[in-house]
Amino acid sequence: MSDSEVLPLPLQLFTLKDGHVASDSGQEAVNNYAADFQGLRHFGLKIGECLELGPPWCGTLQEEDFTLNFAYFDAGTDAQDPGAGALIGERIPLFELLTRVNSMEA
Amino acid sequence: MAASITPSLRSALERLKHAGSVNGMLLCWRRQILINLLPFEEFRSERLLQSVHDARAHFASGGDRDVATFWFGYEGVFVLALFQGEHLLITLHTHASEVDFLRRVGLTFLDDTQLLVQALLQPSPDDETSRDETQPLGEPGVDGLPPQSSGPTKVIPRHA
Repeated sequence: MSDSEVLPLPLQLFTLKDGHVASDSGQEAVNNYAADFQGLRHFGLKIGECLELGPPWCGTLQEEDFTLNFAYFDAGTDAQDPGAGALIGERIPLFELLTRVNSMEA
Repeated sequence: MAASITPSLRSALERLKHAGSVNGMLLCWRRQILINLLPFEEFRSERLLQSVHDARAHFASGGDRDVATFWFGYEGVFVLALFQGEHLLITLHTHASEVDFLRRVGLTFLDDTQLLVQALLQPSPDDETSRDETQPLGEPGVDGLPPQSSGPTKVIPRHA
């Protein structure tokens, strides 16, 4: 592999509990994920307000080589509710990543 | 031309609306709504469009990030927003498992309708002329069928 080739980010998993993000992937990964998660949830709330759908229970953003999501467990949608999230340096099926995150509830 | 093309674009979008568990669709160019097939008032669709664009601008503001897809799940409905070039297609659907199928057909729709969208955005000056020159259909006959020409059918050679 040449020096110019960069390995894509591996799948990293995060837990959401009492308004905090936690992960085994390290503090920098947690900080980066938390920033994206807050932005994504904020705009999910705004879009929900537009159509009177309420707050989102899950959200995903996808770039050409990056996918990030979050999902609250059970019927929770509040910032304090338990949930989970993930990111990966690839464009993978959205439903597959949601299923992976939902499986963390067990 | 645009007058005849616009219904084609709308019908293509309406066909897509019948795919899977789709509840509604919104086709936009930049921050402008082109076709609104959402079951909401116009001002809500307008706000939705602005919010999705704001979300993309938020993530792009920190550098070179370019979010192509947003997908949010709400109580009973999902909102899928697909960006391609200057176009945005928003789909409301019910079943989470259909999201990747809807994403793919949505992008194919945006790919396949570039000329139709272009014609809608920039109608050529000929469009007005061709519309004026269009001959109205005759009134149906007594049997409800279109009127028959009295003369013989004219054959137009392919290479006149």
